[in-house]
Amino acid sequence: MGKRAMALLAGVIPAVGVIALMGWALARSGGTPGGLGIYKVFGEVAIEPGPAPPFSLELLTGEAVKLEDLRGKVVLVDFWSSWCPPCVEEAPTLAQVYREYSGRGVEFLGIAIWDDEDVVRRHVARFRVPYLNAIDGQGTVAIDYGVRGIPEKFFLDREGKLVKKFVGPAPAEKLRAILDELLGGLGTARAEGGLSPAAATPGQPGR
Amino acid sequence: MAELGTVTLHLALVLALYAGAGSVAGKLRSSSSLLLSVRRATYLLPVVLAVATLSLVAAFVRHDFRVEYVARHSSLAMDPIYTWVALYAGNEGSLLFIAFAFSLLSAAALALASRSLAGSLPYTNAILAGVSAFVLGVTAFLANPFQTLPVAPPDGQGINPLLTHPGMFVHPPLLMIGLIGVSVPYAIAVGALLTGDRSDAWVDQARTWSLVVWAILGSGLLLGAWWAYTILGWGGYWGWDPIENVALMPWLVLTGFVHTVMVQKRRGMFGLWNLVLIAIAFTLALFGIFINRGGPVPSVHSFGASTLGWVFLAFLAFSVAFSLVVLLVRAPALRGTAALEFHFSREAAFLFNNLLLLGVALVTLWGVVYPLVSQMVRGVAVTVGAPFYNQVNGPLFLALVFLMGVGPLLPWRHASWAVVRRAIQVPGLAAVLAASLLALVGVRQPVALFAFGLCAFVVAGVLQEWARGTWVRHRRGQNLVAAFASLVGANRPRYGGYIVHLAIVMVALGVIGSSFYGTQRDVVLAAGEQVSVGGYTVIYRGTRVETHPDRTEFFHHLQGMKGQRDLGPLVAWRAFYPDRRMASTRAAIRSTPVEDLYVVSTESLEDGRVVFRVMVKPLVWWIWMAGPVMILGTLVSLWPQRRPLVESAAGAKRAAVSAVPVE
Amino acid sequence: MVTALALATAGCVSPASPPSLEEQAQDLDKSLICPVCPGETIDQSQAALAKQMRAIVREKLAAGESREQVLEFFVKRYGDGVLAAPPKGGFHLLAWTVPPVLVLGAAAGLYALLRRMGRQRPRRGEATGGGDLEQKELAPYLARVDEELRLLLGPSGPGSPLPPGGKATGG
Repeated sequence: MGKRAMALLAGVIPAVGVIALMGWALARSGGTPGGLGIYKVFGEVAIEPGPAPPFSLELLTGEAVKLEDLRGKVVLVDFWSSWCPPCVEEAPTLAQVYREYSGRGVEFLGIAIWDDEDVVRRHVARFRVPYLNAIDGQGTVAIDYGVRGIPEKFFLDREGKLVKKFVGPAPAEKLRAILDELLGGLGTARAEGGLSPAAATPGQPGR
Repeated sequence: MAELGTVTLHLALVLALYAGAGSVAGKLRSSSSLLLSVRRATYLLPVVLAVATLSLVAAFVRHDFRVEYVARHSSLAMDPIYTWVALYAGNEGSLLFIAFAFSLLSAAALALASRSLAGSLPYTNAILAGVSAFVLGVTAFLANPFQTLPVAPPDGQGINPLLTHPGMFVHPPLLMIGLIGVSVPYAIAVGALLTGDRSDAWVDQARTWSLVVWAILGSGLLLGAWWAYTILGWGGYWGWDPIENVALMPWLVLTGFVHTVMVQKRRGMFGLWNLVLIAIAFTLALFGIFINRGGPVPSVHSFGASTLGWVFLAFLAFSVAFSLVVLLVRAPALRGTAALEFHFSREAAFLFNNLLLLGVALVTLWGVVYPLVSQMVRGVAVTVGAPFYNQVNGPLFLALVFLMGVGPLLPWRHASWAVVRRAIQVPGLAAVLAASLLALVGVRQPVALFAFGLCAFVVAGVLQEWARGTWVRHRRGQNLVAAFASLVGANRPRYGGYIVHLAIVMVALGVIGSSFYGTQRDVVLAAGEQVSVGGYTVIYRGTRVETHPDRTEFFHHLQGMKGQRDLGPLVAWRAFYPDRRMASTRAAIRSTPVEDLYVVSTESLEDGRVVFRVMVKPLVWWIWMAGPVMILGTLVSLWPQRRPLVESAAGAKRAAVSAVPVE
Repeated sequence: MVTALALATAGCVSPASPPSLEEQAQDLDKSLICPVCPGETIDQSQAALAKQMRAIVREKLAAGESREQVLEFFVKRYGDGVLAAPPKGGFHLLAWTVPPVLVLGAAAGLYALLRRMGRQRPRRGEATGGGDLEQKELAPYLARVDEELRLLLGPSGPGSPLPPGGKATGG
């Protein structure tokens, strides 16, 4: 009987383990195959806040832009491609939100990756993208930021610190909420004398 | 057409349910009329499903884009020959295809079953029908390929360009049939177990079917490797991707089963173990189908989103529980048929072979699930890819090759050292000789030397067996050819097995050669420029461009030279699909038994230059050649054994006895 | 076959020199996963990101960075998942230790089991062989012939010459 029980356990434990693991993974990935390897969920992604990787890019207008140039402003860095449907879809939203915030110490920088220059220019012209635009032809900036999909957005605070990451297209309200938080939250954090800015608490959508 | 399809699909489901329930009821009530009726239902199932499948084919041929599946997987521009591929390009069609193929297998299994199995056949039929009913239920209610759209789109989305390759005509169907086909030997074995049939009548049947399924799966895997090699454009043939792994795992376990089932047939041993083994193979096959049709594992192969995962997982869990319960309840009846006499014998070698095969399968399973373990325990995403499997499974495979060489040389029951020494003398010498020769010509990789030596060991062992057997018969007066033929004929399972062993060695040669040796260069060439790689020179002559509505095709004309010898023109083909932002390539391959010259274009630059990957891959040719050899060996093994006269068998004994001192 | 082997390997043997930068780069390519195409290494993938990563790999090697430094660079940006196999350290040691423990453990268990079974029964070879060396060596061959005979005659065939220890029962 002891032997039988042992044989039973030897069979049951791995089988139940694997099946339970699969169930857990299915639940996590929402029942979609490929699941955990690919971003299936759009939205804010938890990141460790830290200094933003520096970059130096040539804008479509021919001028150069460096990370240091943007210090003192809240910055949204948007990695996108002209051939990516969600990027095209949200282009008007981004332009709209930028117009609302451009006077309030906010800068947007669109970085086109995995793309060709002429199509990027056409896209910028078509949507009259009002903010800074550059092409990261070698992909070095995107790799430094660990970009693994498009669109992917990063929010930098006034000190040039990377504080938030957003995967997928962002609705206007969401963008406004984050920008408001970064513009105002910084003050609050200072007032409270907290060690880390409030904006550094990631992963709580709707704040 | 869509309506006919849906109706027949539901009809098939009803038939399968009836066959399943009716078989059990008929068996329990010993109602022969009911049993006859459910048998007929099983025979009718493939007919009904043929109608369903044909109506899907018809929808494709008539470009009936009202049918959602047709709209998603074909287009007006699609070459009609790809209808066959489009049929299983998505989940819905695949499931229908699986159901149809499996209904044919089930009917064949029933029709070909020997009379002595009549007692257990109803249970076998019930299990087969249960599997059918599950697949059909999912198809009918959750993934109906005949689902129609409210408005037919003017054109379909077209077929995935990666699927438009000759390999795709055979590789996916073989894998699907192979995976679901494991149910057949499982159903036969479990049917016998449920009946309490302690005779070995089922062993023959299960062996036959497991060999058939084994060959189908094996061919499917090889063709998949060939497809990857010629079309994916990176020069590899096996990427240890989860989807590949889950098809390999049941194949490995089946490999173990076809060996130990022979021991059961000939020595009456391992009865319980074989049941465990076939249950594991069945479970792994279901696991494979689950991963294919919606498993939560990251993979290169994306078959389109589906939410079928839960259903397949539930079925997997149910079948595991079923197998366990049946085995536990019935296992005591199997005790004590026979035991091993000595730990050093052919039987023992078979057991270690099983251990290794099962080991590779489970290690691979571990690799497949580990990313999820890491994700769950640590919340960290990891990848378990080729470097892991090469390092972990590599040594196990080498050990398997070694056992493949030694096992057949060991006598049954008990081997004394003297006998073993004598048996492995020649193969051992061959191994040392081959390794030394290779070392002399400059092979310095110790692992490669060792591995090639093992291959030589196996080949020499097989040849020695053939030579000895033939010689014995030759001495009885047959000429050599007739002697060889009658030798193989007298024990087809064994000598067919040897042929398969040679095929495995061929695969091993290719794998060892191409993974330890081989050169690769990525170059950018303008027309007229050339590159030298591993003794070859490739000259890029120019490109012909063909524009199609959905793609641009590039024919890169190349010329290959080996030293000063002109190898003639080569064409590396590449197509770009702008809508999908997807490229499809076909490598220019010049294959010889020694090495392949492999050129694939990976990108066309704006200035007209082309990026090529040029590779020289030794011995890959042998991998593909192993396919036909493997099938030949399987056929020899399967060929029904004719029963010769008793006298000749007795004569063989005398001859063998007198031959021994000569050896 | 051996000739083919010799020919095949003779062509591509390099004297034991350290791997060139390109060889090191190709090795790295095969060790890094392209983050936008799960399951594919940057060696396999044609994605733009893979191409860019390949370029960075070569740049860094040319700048004198070691294999570990290059891997670390990508791990810092993309996490452990960018490695084609889990790192051999920390928690991920689990991935590497389970397989050998499993297989070696099972092999040891099986060996012990077989030894025990072997001891429980009289050793056939010795029983039949007695002191006669030639007879002893012949025994396995005779056994094999017996096997063939039994097979030819079928399981129910008359006068199966198998000793009782062999197959206990046909049904």
